[in-house]
Amino acid sequence: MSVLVRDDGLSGARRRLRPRRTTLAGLALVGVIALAALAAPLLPWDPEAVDLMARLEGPSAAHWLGTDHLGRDLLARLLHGASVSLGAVAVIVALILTLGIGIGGLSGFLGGRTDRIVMRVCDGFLTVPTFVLAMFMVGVLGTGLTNVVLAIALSHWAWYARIVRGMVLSLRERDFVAAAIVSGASRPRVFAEHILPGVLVQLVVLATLDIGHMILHVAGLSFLGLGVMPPTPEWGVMISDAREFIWTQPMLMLWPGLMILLTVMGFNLLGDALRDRLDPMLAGEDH
Amino acid sequence: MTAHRLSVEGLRLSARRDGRPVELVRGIDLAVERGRVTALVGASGSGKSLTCLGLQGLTPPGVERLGGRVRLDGEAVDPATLPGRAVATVMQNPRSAFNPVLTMRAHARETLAVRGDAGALDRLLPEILAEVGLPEPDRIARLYPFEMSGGMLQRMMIALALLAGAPFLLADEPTTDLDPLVQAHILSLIERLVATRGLGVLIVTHDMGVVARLADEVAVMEAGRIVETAPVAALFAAPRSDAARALLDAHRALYPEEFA
Amino acid sequence: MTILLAAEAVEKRYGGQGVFATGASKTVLRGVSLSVRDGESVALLGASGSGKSTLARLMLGLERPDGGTVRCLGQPIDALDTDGRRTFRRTVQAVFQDPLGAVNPRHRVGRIIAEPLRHLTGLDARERAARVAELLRLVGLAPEDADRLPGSMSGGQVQRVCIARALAPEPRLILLDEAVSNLDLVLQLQILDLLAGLRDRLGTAFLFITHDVRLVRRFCHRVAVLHDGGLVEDRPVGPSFAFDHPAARALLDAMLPAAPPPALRDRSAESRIAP
Ligand SMILES: Nc1ncnc2c1ncn2[C@@H]1O[C@H](COP(=O)(O)OP(=O)(O)OP(=O)(O)O)[C@@H](O)[C@H]1O
Ligand SMILES: Nc1ncnc2c1ncn2[C@@H]1O[C@H](COP(=O)(O)OP(=O)(O)OP(=O)(O)O)[C@@H](O)[C@H]1O
Ligand SMILES: [Mg+2]
Ligand SMILES: [Mg+2]
Repeated sequence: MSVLVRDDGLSGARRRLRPRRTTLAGLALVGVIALAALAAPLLPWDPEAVDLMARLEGPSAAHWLGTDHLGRDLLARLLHGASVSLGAVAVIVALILTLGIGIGGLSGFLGGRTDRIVMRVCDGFLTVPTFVLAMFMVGVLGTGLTNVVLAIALSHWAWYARIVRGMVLSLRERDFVAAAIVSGASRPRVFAEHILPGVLVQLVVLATLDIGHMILHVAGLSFLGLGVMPPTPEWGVMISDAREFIWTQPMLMLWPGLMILLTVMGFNLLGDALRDRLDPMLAGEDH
Repeated sequence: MTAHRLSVEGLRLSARRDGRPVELVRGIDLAVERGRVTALVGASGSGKSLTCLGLQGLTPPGVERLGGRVRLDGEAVDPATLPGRAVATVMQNPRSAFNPVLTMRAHARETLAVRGDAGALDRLLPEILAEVGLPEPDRIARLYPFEMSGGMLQRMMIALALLAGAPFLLADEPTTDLDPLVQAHILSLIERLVATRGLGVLIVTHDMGVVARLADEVAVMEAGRIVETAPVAALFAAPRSDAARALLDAHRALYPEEFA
Repeated sequence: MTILLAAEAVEKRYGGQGVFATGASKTVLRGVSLSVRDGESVALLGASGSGKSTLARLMLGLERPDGGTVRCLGQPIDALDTDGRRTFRRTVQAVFQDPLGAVNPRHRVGRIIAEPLRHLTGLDARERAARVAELLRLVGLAPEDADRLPGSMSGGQVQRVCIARALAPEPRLILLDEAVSNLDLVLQLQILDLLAGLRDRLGTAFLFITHDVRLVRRFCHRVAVLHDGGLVEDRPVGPSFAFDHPAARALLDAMLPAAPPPALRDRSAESRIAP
């Protein structure tokens, strides 16, 4: 009965057209942070310029949010941190979606032995937690943002592949796929025109809801010294650097923490809103 | 639940098409009473399914309710409390109405849970499956929707509606995919429930044979309006509206020898 | 006359293996043979769950039989090359049992009906749109309906969209699985007349899966009855026809009454519909 929207007086159609306040908040947060990420390289402040004469200063006209223990401008570092975090997450999501859709989609679409083997491989990946895999990769390949990105992508794709496979399996049995085959569509076209779009919409929602996690992973691994290396401005690194000064300069730690919080919150709100918005459209889709 | 009469008055539904509003249901009064069978007939697209939904206080996405409160014994009710409790439904497209990743048993459990009686699942399910003519209850209970034939799903929907134990049943084309034997069986089952349990039934159908077999009275719809209501015998003997006449003529064309 | 599509001793079992391993396997079809010739209308009757849709899926090459072969124009359909498959699809089109399930909920009606035209004919976009408009009118819908999503249409309207899609590439055989079950009688008869017109004009053949013996009598030349996994009847339809097999006879006998019983049930003595 998912097809139906209950209607108790107020017009359902009109209500759906008016975005909710949380949606707007999510959009605003993500928008501002994305803008910061894009604008950061254009700003005149250099996030890595050390000025030992101006260490641990409070806010001033020259440094709006003050400086850190090496005299680097905090605001510049926060904004550049946004581009590092969002950039890393964008690459991770792209990798995960490609692997998830490619491997999960084929597995579900082809079925049979291929499917069984692929799913065993996925199970294998799913049993290894992100942090363990990351430590392993850093141990083998060395530290660095690239390895963190790879580690997070490798420990998440299998989950997506499983979801995609499930969706493909349930779509594959639908009569409209049979109808497309009878209409003369080739298998790749059936997959591209009838199965993929349905899967994609759902995946975008899932991925948006997951971006928060991934930002935390990137920051967390960097905080532990496994990921982004100083002096690159990254929120996790900044928090790690600020540990020494937590009692004297708590703002040094609070600002990057706040950025992480707001970004994660923004993406979660946006993901929720996307899900609510897209679900009624998926009414006939049933999954 | 002791309500005797489920009704809607002045039901008006509209949708936007190319930016312009189109009225799909234009002011309908309809009631279902305990112990009686009302048939709703009419051409394809005349608004039968929407009316059926409207009677449960539901509106599909993209459709706006301009008027029409649902009432139980004349009292306006919160539509959210109706489905599964006061009203059980059989929807028009059985396959699309099922959740593809749940087995029949899981569907039955959900239905019983609404009624707060999930514990009775193992006792009631085999019974009800046998009643709607689905043998091998153990096999059926484990099947997923795509493993069932159209007619099996339709019977399963009816079984779920009966499991809900609601006093009113709204059935939208409940027997279209059933073979004549099973159809006759289901119609008898409904008739029996009407007589013994006082079930109140609204049956949407285009099959005048079903109407003839089961209904007490008939409402004929055309383009979003009810154009005629009559006791079933009167309608067959002397239809007053063009819509009813057209349906009956087509019906009789199918029985060449009886009306030659 | 050419045999367009033939099932030869096909068998089908379900269950007993795979993800949904749920106990013993169930044999749905055992050695069923059925063929349809040019210009012929064959009805396939059978109790619900007797395997009619399964047989249809096998004959459409959507599932593989566990035994036996399906041939289109004499060629086994599981050994067709690309050209052969294209010919097969151009020759045989189908209308599925659950109309709403058989259309992609994201596609607009115009795109749904144009799909076989895109894959199977050389029409360009403009010619396709014109053909879609023509088809919509044929099945009693409006050309403007091409822009609607199936979710916003009634059950019978979606079913007509499916019929239009099957007619689109002018196939030589159309397989109709309960294809008019959601239409009111007036429309059913109109659609049947439309199909009969195609039969007379183009020699289109039909395999008509239905429960409605009344329609068989009106539309079909031959009737086959499926029971317990096998064909128990396969005979021509005359003005009045009878079956020998008890299961087939039971189907015929359970036909609905033409009019309400003369002795009125007392419940219907007076109308109590809201004024
Ligand atoms: N969600 C919707 N949005 C917009 N229009 C709709 C929607 N659902 C139905 N309609 C339109 O409302 C009219 C009535 O639809 P309804 O489903 O009630 O018809 P029906 O009488 O049940 O027909 P059928 O016998 O074909 O099922 C139709 O013209 C249909 O196109
Ligand atoms: N994918 C499947 N997996 C397991 N069992 C199946 C599957 N498809 C069909 N069946 C079984 O095969 C039998 C025949 O189904 P089929 O859909 O062919 O019946 P039908 O004759 O078309 O019935 P109806 O008239 O009700 O549509 C049923 O018992 C059904 O449970
Ligand atoms: Mg309807
Ligand atoms: Mg079937």
